[in-house]
This record gives sequence, C-alpha cells and structure tokens, in this order.
Amino acid sequence: MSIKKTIASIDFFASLNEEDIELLSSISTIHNYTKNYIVHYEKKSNSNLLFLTHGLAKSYKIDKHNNEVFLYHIYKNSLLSEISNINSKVLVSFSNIEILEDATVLSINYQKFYDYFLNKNLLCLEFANEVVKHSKHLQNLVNREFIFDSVAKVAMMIASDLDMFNKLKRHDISLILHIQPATLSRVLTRLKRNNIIDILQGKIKIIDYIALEAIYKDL
Amino acid sequence: MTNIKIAGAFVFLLSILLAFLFNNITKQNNLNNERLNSINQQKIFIQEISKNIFSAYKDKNISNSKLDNSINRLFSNIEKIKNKNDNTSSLYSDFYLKIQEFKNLNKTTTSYSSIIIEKLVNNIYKINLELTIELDKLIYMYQKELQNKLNIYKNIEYTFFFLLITLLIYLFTQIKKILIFIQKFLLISKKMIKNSSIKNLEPLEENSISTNVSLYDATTNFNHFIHKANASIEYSIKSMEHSCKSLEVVESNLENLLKFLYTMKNKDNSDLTKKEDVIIQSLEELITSTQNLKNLKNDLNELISQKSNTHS
Repeated sequence: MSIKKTIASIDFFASLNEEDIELLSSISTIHNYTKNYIVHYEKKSNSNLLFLTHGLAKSYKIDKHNNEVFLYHIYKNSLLSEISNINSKVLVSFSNIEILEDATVLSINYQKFYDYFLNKNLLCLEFANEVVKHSKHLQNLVNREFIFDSVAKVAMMIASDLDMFNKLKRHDISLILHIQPATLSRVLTRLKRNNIIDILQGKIKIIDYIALEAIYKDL
Repeated sequence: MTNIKIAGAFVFLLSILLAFLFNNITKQNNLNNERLNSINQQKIFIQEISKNIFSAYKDKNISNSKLDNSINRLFSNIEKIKNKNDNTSSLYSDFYLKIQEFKNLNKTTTSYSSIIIEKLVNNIYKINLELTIELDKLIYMYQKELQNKLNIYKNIEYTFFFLLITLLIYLFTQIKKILIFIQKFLLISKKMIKNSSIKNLEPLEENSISTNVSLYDATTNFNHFIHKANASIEYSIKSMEHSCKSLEVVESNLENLLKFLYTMKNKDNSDLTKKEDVIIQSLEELITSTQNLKNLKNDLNELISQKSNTHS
C-alpha cells in the first residue's frame, strides 16, 4: 500500500484534503516491524510521530526489580507516540512500546508536521482526541491497579476486549491484570457459576453482558 | 588509646624542649664568642697603648693623638668585659692613672723628669703584662664557665633524647597493636566484600589485643555487631519461613471457606456473592503476600550469600 493510501486509511487524517495528504506523504515513511520489536524505549526522545496502521503493540514500563509492568494495548489505526509536551518539537516517550503482532508503522517528521499542520490549526482536534484517548488509558490503568478487585479486573477485560481475552493465554492475562493465575481461574469459575459467562473449549462467551458490566461499574 | 594520646603529647613537649635547648646553647656560644672577642680586643688595645707610650717616651715630638685614640677605644670597650674580678678593675684604674701621669710628665722637662718617666714607663709595662695575664685568666674562666654550662645542657639533652626514644618505642609498640587490629578488621571486611556475603561472619580474636582497653572495647563492639548481624539474618529467615507457612495455612482455610460458600449458595443470593468476591480478593492478596515474602526471602538469601549466585 502506498503512503498516500495508508494515510488516507487512518481515521486521524480523515479531515485532510488531497493536497494536504500529498504534503503529509512527502514527510512520511512506512516501516514494517516483526513481533517483539521494540519501537521505542521509555524516556527516549524521538523526532518522528508514529502511527500503528496495522498489527498490535503494547505499552509497558520496567520496575526497579526489572519486572515488566503492563500498561495498555495499542490497536491498529492508533497513535503510537506519546504526547508529553504540546510545545516541544521533540517527542519523549513515557513507556516502552513493543510490537505484539507483525505491524506496519507510519512515521511522520514531527517538526515538519508541527509546522505544516498543527501551526496552521489543522488536525488539532484529532491531536487533542489522541491526548484524551491516552488519558482514558491512564484512567483505566488507575481503576485496574488501585480501584478494582480481581473480579472487577477480569470482568472489565472480558467486557471491553473479549477477542483479546480469548486470544491470549491465561497466564498472559493474569500478568496483564496483575493477578495470580489461580485467582483468574477462581473468578472465571465464579462468573460461570453465576451464569454471566460460559466457557466452551477454553473460550469465553458472554451470557449476561449487563451483569458483567455491573460488576466493575458498581465499584 | 589514652596512653597513646599522653605519649604523643610528651613526644611533642620533649621535641619543643629540645629545640629550646639547642637554641639556648647557640645563644650561649654566641655570647661567649662576643666576650672572648672583646677581651682579645682589650689585649690588643693595651699593647697598642704600651707601644705608643714607649714611642712617646723615645720621641717627645710625636703627637699624643694615636695614644688618646687607643685609650678611648680601650675604655669604651671595657663595659663589655666587666666582671666581679676586682683585681682586673684595679689594674685598669692603675693603668689609666699611670698613662695620665705619663702624659702630664712627658710634656714637661725637669732634672728628675727623665728618671720619673723611665720609672713610669717601666710601671706601665709591668701593669701591661699583669693586665694581659689577668685577661688571659678571664678568657680561661669564661671558657670554663661555658664548658660547665655546655656539660649541663648536654646531660639534659641526653636525658630528653633518651626519653624521646623510649616514648617513640612505646608509641610504636602501641601503634603496632592497633595496626594488627586494623589488619584483622580489614581482612574480615575484605572477605565480606570479596565473597559479597554477610553470612556466617567470623568474629575477631581477642587474645592478642586484650591488653589495650580501647582495642579490647573496639573488638568487643565489632564482635557484638557480627553476632547481632548473624542472629538477625537467622531470625529473619526463620520468621519469613514461619510467615510463609502461616499464610499457606490461612490460604488453605480460605479455600475451604470458599468451597463451603459454593455449596451453601443459592443463585439469587447477592450477599453471598459479594462475600465470595471478598474471599477471592483475600486469597489473591494472600497469594501475592506469600509470593512477595518468598521473593523477600530470596532477596535476603542473595544479599547474605551472593557468592553462590555469582558461581552459578
């Protein structure tokens, strides 16, 4: 797929006309990454604005004991870079970004993007939306880590991303949710016994979505 | 440690006293040299005066200026060699009187004057000899006096020097003991660093350094610290093992409670569902705590015995 078509396929650039897309494609490149590739490390500066056009990535940090702390998944058609300072011409990443499935990344020269678009009040709303999305990720993170108990954590993940839940191994899910595998198993048994979910050949099926949502929304 | 401080202070004090003594000896030598120099000058002036008188006696036309000059220099210098020797003083007075008498008589010429002047010249010559002998005696006396003083100073110096050497030897033996202690202390510390381990620390031996109170205290304190460290590690490991076992028992009890809840629960009993959620969360926290405790125990084991890790 050409750069122009790739740009046109991203929702973020939907408001641009042909001329702007042409201009944007002149300052952009496309990169293909394989699984487990680290797109950028935390606290490192980057001069390019990155979009995930295809594939899946995860954001994580490393704690003082060298353990990986999962933050959130980044799905296709999303901004990979983190906007830490709107006035800066350089992007400094808060977390590490690792590719989980073979991915295509659109890389745009941020300095020129800033001059050609943001300075001319183009794509500002979209840019603000991405910051809000990022804020939403952090809200979910706070809920998951400080507010929710184990049952609510599992219920939220099943309700919000069932496909991902079924795709991942139970061990990986327990790592993502920061709960013990035994607890995950207990929660799933509890949800199944309450007829909220069903488990068929290891795959989860939601039976009572309202009851499932109520578990974490009531907290 | 107090002994070393006192010995150090004495060494410092003795060094100052020795320096003061050397300085005093130098001053005494200078003073004596100055005196001897003055006495020798006196002898020269007396000889000059006698020579001038003899010349004036032979030739009355010769001016008295040279003689007056020598007399002035002789008596201006006399203060420097003043001493208790009355004999020298009376000889000086006599010498001066005779010179004055000669000067007066030499200007006049009578029938008896030549006889009187000749007698006067002989007297002056005699006093000149006596004065020279007296001045030689004075030189000898000063030299003897100086020698006596130097002997006293020398004895004091030898005493101080002997004391200094004794103190230095004492200091050296004390410091040697401290060095042995430090060497042992460093050896144990080095061992700890080399092995990266604080497991089974060996205490310092007390036998060789028990005579020194400060070192004995330091050794006791260090050994006390080592015993405490060893005991703390042992207690910590045991406590963590007990805690882990206790948590596992609690976990098992909670599991039983959960099973009990499953069996007694109805479909619509939301209260029991909430309680079940609480127990699930408690179990989760319990397992996490057990794991954290095990991790902590592993960390402690690694901390106290990293050697095994580096080898593996």
